[in-house]
Order: sequence, then structure tokens, then C-alpha cells
Amino acid sequence: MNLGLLRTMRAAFGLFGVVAAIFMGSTAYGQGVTTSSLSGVVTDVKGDILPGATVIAVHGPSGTKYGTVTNEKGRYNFPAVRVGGPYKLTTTFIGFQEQAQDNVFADLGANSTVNFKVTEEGKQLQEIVVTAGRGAVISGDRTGASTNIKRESFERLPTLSRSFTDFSALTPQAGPGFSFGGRSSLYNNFSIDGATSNNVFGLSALPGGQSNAQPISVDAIQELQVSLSPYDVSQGSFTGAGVNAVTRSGTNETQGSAYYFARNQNYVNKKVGSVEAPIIDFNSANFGARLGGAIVKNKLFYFVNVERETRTDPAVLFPADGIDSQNRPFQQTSTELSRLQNFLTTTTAGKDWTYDPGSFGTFNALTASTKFLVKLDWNISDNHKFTIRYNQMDSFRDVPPSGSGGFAAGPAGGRGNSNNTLPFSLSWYRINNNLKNVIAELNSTFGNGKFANNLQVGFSAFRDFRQAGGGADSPDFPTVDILGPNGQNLTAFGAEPFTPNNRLDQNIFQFNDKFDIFAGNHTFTLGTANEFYSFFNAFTPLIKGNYRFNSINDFIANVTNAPGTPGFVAPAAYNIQYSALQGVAAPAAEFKSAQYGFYAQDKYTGIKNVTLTVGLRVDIPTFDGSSVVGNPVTDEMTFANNEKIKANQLPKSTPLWSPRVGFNWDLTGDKKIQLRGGTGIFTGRVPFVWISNQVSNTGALFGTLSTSATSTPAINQVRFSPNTTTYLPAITGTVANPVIPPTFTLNATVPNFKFPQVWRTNFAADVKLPGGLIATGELIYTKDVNAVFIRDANLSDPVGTVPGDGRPLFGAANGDATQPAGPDRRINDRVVQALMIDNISSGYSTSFTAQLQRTTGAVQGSIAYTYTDSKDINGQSGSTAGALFTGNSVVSTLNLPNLAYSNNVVPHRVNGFVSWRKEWVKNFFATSLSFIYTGFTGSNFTYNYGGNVNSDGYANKDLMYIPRSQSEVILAPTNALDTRTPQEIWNQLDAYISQDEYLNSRRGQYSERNGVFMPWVNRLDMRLLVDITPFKVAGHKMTLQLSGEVQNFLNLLSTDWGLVRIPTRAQILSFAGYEVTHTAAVPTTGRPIFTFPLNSDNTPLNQTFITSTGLGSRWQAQFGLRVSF
Amino acid sequence: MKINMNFSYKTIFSVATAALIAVAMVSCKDTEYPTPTPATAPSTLAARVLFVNAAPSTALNFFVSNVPAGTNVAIGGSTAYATVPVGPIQLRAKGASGDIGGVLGSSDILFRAAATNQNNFTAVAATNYTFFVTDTLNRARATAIGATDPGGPRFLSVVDNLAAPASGNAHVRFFHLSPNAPAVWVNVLRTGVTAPVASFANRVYRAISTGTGTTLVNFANFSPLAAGTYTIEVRTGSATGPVALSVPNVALLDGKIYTLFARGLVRGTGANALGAGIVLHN
Repeated sequence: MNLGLLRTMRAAFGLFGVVAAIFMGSTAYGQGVTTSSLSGVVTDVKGDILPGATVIAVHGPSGTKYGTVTNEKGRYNFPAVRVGGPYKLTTTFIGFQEQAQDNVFADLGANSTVNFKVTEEGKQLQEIVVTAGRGAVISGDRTGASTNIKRESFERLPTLSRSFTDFSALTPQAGPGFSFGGRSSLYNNFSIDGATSNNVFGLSALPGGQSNAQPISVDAIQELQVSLSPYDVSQGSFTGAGVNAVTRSGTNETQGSAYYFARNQNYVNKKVGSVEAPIIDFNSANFGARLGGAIVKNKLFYFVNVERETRTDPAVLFPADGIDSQNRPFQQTSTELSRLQNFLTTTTAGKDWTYDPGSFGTFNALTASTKFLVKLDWNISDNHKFTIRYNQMDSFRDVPPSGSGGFAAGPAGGRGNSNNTLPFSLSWYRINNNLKNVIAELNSTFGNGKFANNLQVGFSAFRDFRQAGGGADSPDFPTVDILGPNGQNLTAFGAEPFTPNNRLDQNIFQFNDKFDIFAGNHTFTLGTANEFYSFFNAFTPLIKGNYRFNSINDFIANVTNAPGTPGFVAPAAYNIQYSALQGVAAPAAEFKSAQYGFYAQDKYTGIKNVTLTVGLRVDIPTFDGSSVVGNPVTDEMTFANNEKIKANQLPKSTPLWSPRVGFNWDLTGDKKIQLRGGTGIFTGRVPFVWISNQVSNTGALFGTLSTSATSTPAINQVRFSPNTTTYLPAITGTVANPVIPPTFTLNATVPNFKFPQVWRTNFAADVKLPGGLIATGELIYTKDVNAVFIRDANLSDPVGTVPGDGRPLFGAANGDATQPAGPDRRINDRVVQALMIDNISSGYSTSFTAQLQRTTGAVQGSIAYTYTDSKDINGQSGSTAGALFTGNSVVSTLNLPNLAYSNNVVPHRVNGFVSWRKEWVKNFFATSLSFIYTGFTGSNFTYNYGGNVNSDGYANKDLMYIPRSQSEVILAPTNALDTRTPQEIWNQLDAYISQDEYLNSRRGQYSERNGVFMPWVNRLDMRLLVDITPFKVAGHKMTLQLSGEVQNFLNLLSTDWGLVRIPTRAQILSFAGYEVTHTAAVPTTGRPIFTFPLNSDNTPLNQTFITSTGLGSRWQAQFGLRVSF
Repeated sequence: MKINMNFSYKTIFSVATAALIAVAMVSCKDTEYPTPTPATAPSTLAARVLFVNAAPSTALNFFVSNVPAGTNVAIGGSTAYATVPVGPIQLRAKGASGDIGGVLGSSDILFRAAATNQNNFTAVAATNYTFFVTDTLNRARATAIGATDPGGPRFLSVVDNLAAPASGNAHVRFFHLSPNAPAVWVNVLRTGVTAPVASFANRVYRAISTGTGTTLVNFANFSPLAAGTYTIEVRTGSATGPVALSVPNVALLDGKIYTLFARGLVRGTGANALGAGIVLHN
């Protein structure tokens, strides 16, 4: 930590002290929510408050006891109690009769209010003595939007993948994936028992994202809370949603369960609509067990869960010697592939090495994960409760080799299995996502309930790495691509090009403390939430080199003959990336970061039936970039707008303030009508991969060799070598004196970069209706304060406008040193891109929800409608600066996209669930039936041109102009086989635009980014549980539970229902060139020419949407068996 | 703490209402894209193309982007120049009658920018092109690895420089388009004069240039000749080798521009007999 940072920190601490003083002493909550709270007021029958009354709360299943006395306002608080219930609350006071309230439930992150009206001894009890509100929905502590999903829901509702994200999607404001309110899923914070458990590096939103694994079993979850606008400042680190899960704890009664769920291709609809289209065979199983109980009754409890999930899919769908649907043989024949395999595995004249590339036969690709969780709860005393929990996930997935060429061009047709290509099995890779996490929490109360403290200390270790296919070590052998007779890649062997050294280690240490002071009508909270991160990310594409040959014969001729001798054939390409640092085989991005959070809050209950919270939080992110290798070349360069870029300078620490105010007003004082809401700032973090991009893209870490006629060595001197270092130049660069390659890409962050902040305002009303129903109306408005966007500081200004269109036209050439002089796209020719992560304040999200729910009784459920409007400048959904930069579609320049619909916005969404349980024969036979319905506007997409109309170097990113007449667009036949005249092509295009509601409405305008929405989707999932309790074992009821669940139940009822419609083609016009050549010396004066390609079956493109044949359009079923006691 | 309750409720309400109005106003701001400035009329840029049937087989119909550009063109014949759009244009020749069995699974002869792709020809504005259809219909395709010429009946394109010849002159050039004939030497002779007034040396089949860089000779360039009547003599082996073909009485008129080409087949008969074709460009 440097001095400046220290000074900032000291200032921040000082400020924190001042703030604390303003709030007159206070306290803290933890960061991720792990507990519930109980509170209330004790009065006599006349309504006079009774200070000093004793209140005891006992958590029935575990006997966990909490005790306190009412304060001078007659108020008692249990600020951190175990989630769930039922609780029994009892109050005693000398001279008054003891009163008790049973069946009080405590919801995660919510407060349950129990008010007592006690009667003097000897007097008749009054009729209404106690008012109790059940947790989450109508509760004085509730201000912003949140949704709680309880254990009963996890046990009863359908989830094919047994993923908690199926339940978090019950939140009315949920969007696709794990997103909420239209914002990127990377902006959520997910905690398990308070431990930060989202993938903070951000290659995916959640751990296990690459291996398709669930970070935690749904059998281990007690309750889940999705919180969009908690005005409680103790919650932070998100600008999307805070998703908090707490795991189950053991109780006095030993309870356990073992389960097995399975599905395969026979439980998936083989038809889509009326079309027979069976899916490929697969096998999926999920099995596990949980056990919870007491080690010492009422005192010490354990809970254990272990779960394994496996899935096998056939890896080779296009085997050697196969034929396609038109009976044409594949180009991969076993004769040719065995010839190659034999050549590789044996020595021969001119070849003294051997290599086993693996098999070209069929094999199973595996996806597997094992999760383990153990938790101990220790009731040290009535005042101190300690919890420690450990969980672990080991997961992997087999993935076919990437078809990408890294910095060079990949082979035609890619490397994955197709009707042209069959890679050898050792060229597959296995992605591993492993996680170990431990968190301890101590909840204490002091001073007869006047003070409370919550302390959390946690450590998480994420380990993501790659192996070769099947789990072998990635071979120390170049990637070799061999093309087949039709010019498409025939096979690939050797190392998967992106696998060697590929590793991501993340360590997160957490320290949170929250201290509450209950002072009359005030509850002061002071706290700190700190996370310390360290990252190690190695990614070395093409480090083993990549050879390409035009045929097996060429490869054999190349290997067995020396360059220059007759019979020698040069490779078609040889490219390798290498470490530019002496003695560093695999340069990695290694850096540390920390986020310090401090907060102070006052919860004021002095106004009758009103709860007000006022709080201030400050988050201070820090970055330690001391190990970042600098770039002396870019230090000297000047970029657009005279910007200077220091490649090794990570962002400065900027304190980010989050003031928040929340209110809750129980209008009538009887928990029938509640108005609530608030406004305030929420501060999140960015996925750290965005910062890591800078560390690994300073231009100093890697060099590349792309062989050509003029390279060293020249390509005609390159003889294949199994040694991956044969052709590398001498490495002279060091960390202190790096040697910068001729051209390089730069990623950097502006020095005063700020983590994302949003200003979120929420206003809602909850009304209790007859029949146990609660109606809610909720409005949330979010305005970006610091959004993130990416710009290329090395992109030159446009050279003109595109004739016949008017959008900016960029230079014709990239502008490296070999390009002719003239206005080009690069300001500094050596820099391919200088991608700067910067802030912008544009962007907002509005959502309105109307919801009706019933949270008690035999039939429980909820139905909600949500309208969402969300727009942003950058979708902020990618994991690399490059992907973020090019992830947008523009009219003018990628350096400043227009405000447009967010990727995840769902304008209209109806979702609900209902669950009904009936015990037909008491203690013997019961069934429960549940449904989840989600109806929503389909995803959005963009009408772009295919190709690069504005010549900015980025294809398929230019928004289409929708022509009104034929003279506005120049059309040409697609290729040599097209049989249409330009007039016919226009007629077809015009007809297409006319039938497309969106395009027709925007004739004469540009299409908008994410402006088109796919048709409405209806999704109904069903689950039926049959419980049979035939006998008792050692006093425990043994229950056998059979389960059947169907995803897309409508499709099971009729194959014409539950279908998903997707766009036939989003790039309807493809750029085919300008009328006049666009050169560096002379910008084009000609208009762009487009093709309007036919469908693959040569019919004209005449409808916007077709029915998807994917899994979304098919029912899928799963069967399960569970034994519980 | 004593608080006036009514006032508090009002405060809460007004704050909330104000916030909501602010929210509504801000969220109404819409996306603003630049105003397009589309073209208001069809493009005025154009090129011109002329087709020649030099394929020993059958009469052909020609199309540019599927718009007819000449019908029933017999072997050795040519179309007039057709005005075509610039940029990618598709060139197609169909048999005037019957199915001639073409390339890429079609029944037509199609222009392909390279042996392995299906890309169209790119026409440059204000440029004149001549396209010859060459080779026999049933000739086997070349299969050599790395070959850039797909073989078989296909188009050969050259640019025509139609600058007017000097007064008293004609312009002339020559291409060898007889598929099974060896390299030829062409002499243009004045009647009664032994020494050729012009010669085109060592022309191989379908060649449109020779040499590279400073030694480049572009066969598409026209040579000026005094207008008059000439004999065209085609020899093999060398400029003095055996005469394979002699065409007398070729009138080259003042101010006119001609392309001469060898066509037909060695040992061909009838329409496919070895002969000379002539195209008048203006």
C-alpha cells in the first residue's frame, strides 16, 4: 500500500469517526445477510409502555434461546436470530400475567414484529393481547423490494437442474440468467451464510459457471432472499441485486434425507411442434444426502450435505466414416485418421519422435460436480451464538477444442466435431471450477439487550484451471490443424490452444463487523465490511504454437523432409505466442485488491407506526498494481484527446459514498396497509477480470511470431517440431526492461475510475386482503451514477461519412507500419487497440410490479406482473474489455454507443407459483402439487448489418438503416449461385420489412440496439410429490417421496404449446463492399452495397421468427426418489 | 420525542411523490440516434460489360446479376456492351437451349472470384470489361492442390481501354482461347508484305499477361495499327514455326477497336474448328 493510499484510508477512517459521532454511537450489520430479527413493544392494556419487561424467544426445533428486556420505550429487539421457526415468544413482568406467542416465524433479512399487551395479575385476559406479523412481507423493517424464498418452496417447487437460480427467478423483477431489473448479472452480490460466493472475477456470474455446476445444493438452503433495494446500509457490493442464502442448521431432532434424481433423452419431447426432431442421447443424475441433528441438545448442532451431479453427453456426433443427411460421406474417414494416428505414434525415416494424440473414436464428454457442506451451530449462551460453516465444490466439464486462432486466424471450419472435422480426444479440454469456503459468525448481545454485535470472518478460495480432454495433463505439444480435401479443417491434435497454463486462482478474505445500540426509539448501527482479494490469472493462448497443413500428405512431407530438400512442403501457417519476459514461462496477471466498507445508520421508531432508517456507507476500493509490468513505449505515446496512458497504473482509490434513507409506515397500525420505500445510493464492484485485463494487456508480457515469406524463420524453413520452443527468438525482455513487440493491444483503466454506483428509489404499498392474500404495488427507479463503458483511445477520428447513409466512415486501414500512408484507424500505429475502462452517468432502469401473494395455509402462492424499462450505454456483460467494447451495436462510433435497451431487460413479465399440499391419509399418504408459471416478453436483439459498413474494423456491429424505397439501398446477388435480379431482391427485402412490425415502423430510420423483442413466451413448470410414510425407524417417521417434475408442462399437454420463437436472422443485410474502393489514400465516394441472402434451403427470408428447436421448445421431465426421516 | 404526526405523513408523501415525478421525468428521456441521410435516387455509378462466347460447344445466353445481357450468342460471337451496376455483380451464362451442366451444381457457367469460392465479380465504376467464356463444357476440372483456376467452362475477364485510336489507326489485341492448342505466335501481315506489322509472341491459353513488376506485359492493352486489311497468321513453336491458322482479309477500320482471339479446338470440326474470332468494341 502506498503512502497516498494510506492517507486516503486515514482520511476515510477519520470521516467515518465523524459520521459515527453524528449518529451518536451506533452499530453494524454484516455484509451478506444471514439472520432474521424479532422485535416489538410490550404495553399494558391501556397502551402504556412497560420498560424492563423480560422477553424470551425460543427457536422450537433447536431450543435455541434468546433473552432480553424491554428498554425505556417498552421495546425489545432480537437483532440476529436463527432464520426459520417456529419461535415461541414469552414476556414476563412483575405484577403482570405471563404472555406467550407461538408460531412466530423469522424470515431471512426481515423482521417479525410481536407486540404484547399484558394484563395485570388477577385480571381477566383481554381478547387481543398479542399482534404478530409474519416476517418478510409486512414488516416494519421492510423498506425496499425483496423476495424471500423459503425451505418449503425449495422442497416443493419444480427445478429440473436443482438450481437455486430457478428460485431466485421467482423474484418479480428477475430477468434472463441470474439478472434482476434489467441489469447485468455480473453486478449482483451472492452470499452464502454471509460469505461472498459470487464469482467476483466475473468470467461468469456464479462459481461453477463454466462447468455448469451449482455452487450449493438446494437441499442445503434454509432460505433465500433477493433484495433489490435494501436501504439498510449494512448491505452492499451490488448494483443489481443482493442475493443472500442461508444454509440449514441442525435441530434437536435428528433429520436426514437421501435423494436421487435422473433424466435422459427419453424424458425430453422428441418433437418440436409437429416436426420430429429428437435430441441427442444424454444421461443426467443428481444424488446426495443431508443430515442434521444435535451433538448437545439445545446447545450444539451439526448439519451436513453432500451432493454429486453427473452428466454424460456423446462427444462425437459426427463420427469417422459417417454420412450427412443427404447421404454424402463426411470428409473424416477412419482410413485417413488412422493413417495420421499411425504416423504420429511410430517413428519412421526422418521422424524420430512419437506422439499419442488420443482417440478419434466416440467417447463420452463428462460434466460432474461434487459439493460438500458442513455447518456447526453453537449456542454458547443466551447472549452468544456461534456458527461456522465450510463448503466445497469440485466440478468439471469436458469441452471441445476452441476453433479460434488467437491472435491469428483459426482454421476454416474450426476444431470442434462437425461433418467436416473430428479432433483427436486429447485436444479436448476439461474446465475445472473448484471452490472452498469457510465462514464463521458470532452473534452477541450485551448489556441486557442494549447492545448487539455480529462478527463474520470468512475465507474463500476459487480454483479454476484446465486440463486436456478426460482430465489428462495438457500435452506439451503444438496445436496442429490439418485441412481436408474440401478446404475445411479435417482434424486437430496436440494441445488445445488456450489450455496450457490456463489458471485462475482467487482468494477472498472477509472481515465484517456490525454493532447495534438500542437506545429508546433509536437503533444505531455501526459497522465495517471488508474484503481482501488476491488474483492470479494465467492465460497464454497459442503458447505451444499452432501449425496448419493443407493435407495429411503435406504434414507427412513436412515432417519427413528437411526444408529445401525435394519433397519438403511448408506449413500453410505457423503461429506462436511466447513470453516476452526472460525466465517467465507463462506470464500471468497477478494483483491484489481490497474493498473497505464502513457504515453508520440510525433506525428510528419514534413516530407511531413509522420506521425510518437513515444511513451512510462508504466503500473504498484499493488496488495493488505493484507487480504490473509497465510499457515504456506507450508511456511516451499520446492518444485521442491528448490522453496519456500508464499501462501499469491501476485505478486510484476513490471513496464511494452511499447515503440511503428508507421508511416504512404501517398506515393503520394493525399491519393491514403498509407504505414503504426509500432512496439512496448503492455501490457495487466490477468483475475483477476487467481490471485483470489491464494487468495482462500492457503489451509487455507476450510476443508473437506469425511466419510468412519474410519472417524469421521464413515459413518455407519451418519444419514441424514437437518441441514447442524450436522457433522462438531469443528473449531479452525483463520485468524491469520489457521489450515491447512491434504491435500490441493495450487495456487500461482511467486513473479516477470509479466502481459502479446507482441511485435507486423505491416506493411500494402492501395491503392485506381477506383470505390471507397480500397485494403489493412496487415501483423501483434506478439511475446510473457511475456506469462503466469502454472506449478505444487509439481509434482515429472518422475520415468522412458513408455515402448514401450519413454515418461516420473510418479509415480504410488499421495503420500498422506496413500500411501505406493515409488516414487510418489507429492514432499510434503500433497499438492495435487502447481500450480504456471509463465511467459514464447515462443509464437507468425502471420497474413497476403488481403482486398478489399468499404465504400461509395449505395453498400458497404468488402471482406478479412486472413492467421493466432499462437502458444503458454498455451492456457490461462481457468478461474482457474487448468483448465489452465490441458488445454494442452503433450508428456512429463504438467509442460512444447510444443509450439503448439493456441486454437483460424484460419489458413485461408475469410470474407466479402455487403449491398445494394434501394429506390424504394422516401420517401415511400425502401429495403436493406445485406449478411455476413465467410468461415474458422474449429476449431482445438487434438488426445489424452483416460485415463492417463504417470501416471501423469491427464487423456485425453497425445498426441497419431501414430503407423506405429501392433507391435508398443498393442490392446485389449474394454469390455466384443466387438466381435473383436486384429488382427481385428488393421485392423480397421490401416484403420482409413490411411483415416485420418493428422494421416497418422504423423505415427511414436506423434500427436501435436491442430494439426488437422476441415473441411472448409461456412457461409452466410442474412438480408432483407423493409422500408415503410406511413405518417408523427408531421413533423417526421414514418417508418415501416420489417426485416427478416437468419443465414446460404446456408442451407436454400439446406439442404446439410452450414453443419459443426466435429470429430467423438478425443480420438481414450483409455488406458486400462499396461502389468505389475505400483506400487509406482516398476514402470511398461510393455507396455501400448489400446482399439479402436467402435461407439455407434457398427460400427467401420472409418471416421474422421461427420456432426454436432447442430445449426451450420442449417439455423435459425428471424423476426422483427421496427417503427422509 | 414529540412529533406532529400529520406533518410527518405529509412530508413523507410529498418527498415520495416528488421523487416519483422526478423519476418519471428522467426515465422518459429516449434514445437518440443520428439522423440518417439516405440516398434520394438510384446510384449513378455504372460499368459496362461485353460477353464473348469462346467456348467450343454451344450458343449461350448471358446475364449480369440475372438480368439478360445478350441472347443466343454463337461460338465466336459477342454481345454489345451492357451497362451494369458497380461493385459485386454476378456473371452467368446459360445454354441457349438445353441443359449444359454447369458449375457448383447449377446448370450454368458462373463467374467465381477464386477456385474455391462463390464470390461475384467486382466491377469498378466507369470501366469497360470483356468477359470470354472459355474451355469446353465437358472438360474435367483441375484438381491440383492449391490450384487457383478451377478449370472447366469459365469466365475470363479483361479490362477494355476504349480510348479512341489516333486518326487513321485501329486498336487491336489478341488472346489465346483454344483449350487444346499449344502456345502461339500471332503475326499481323499486310497483304503482300512478308514482315509482320504487329505480332503477339508466345501466347498461352487464357493468358492475359506475362511477367511481373517492370517486365509485366498486359495482353489486355491494345496496340495501334494503321487502318487497313490484314492477314492474321497463327504459328506454333516460335514466330517462324508452322502455321496453324491463317485468316486473310481482316479489315481493321479507322478509329475502331478490336479484340482478336483464337478459338475452337485443334482437330475440331464445324463450329468447333480452330478459327479466329474478332470483337468490335466500338
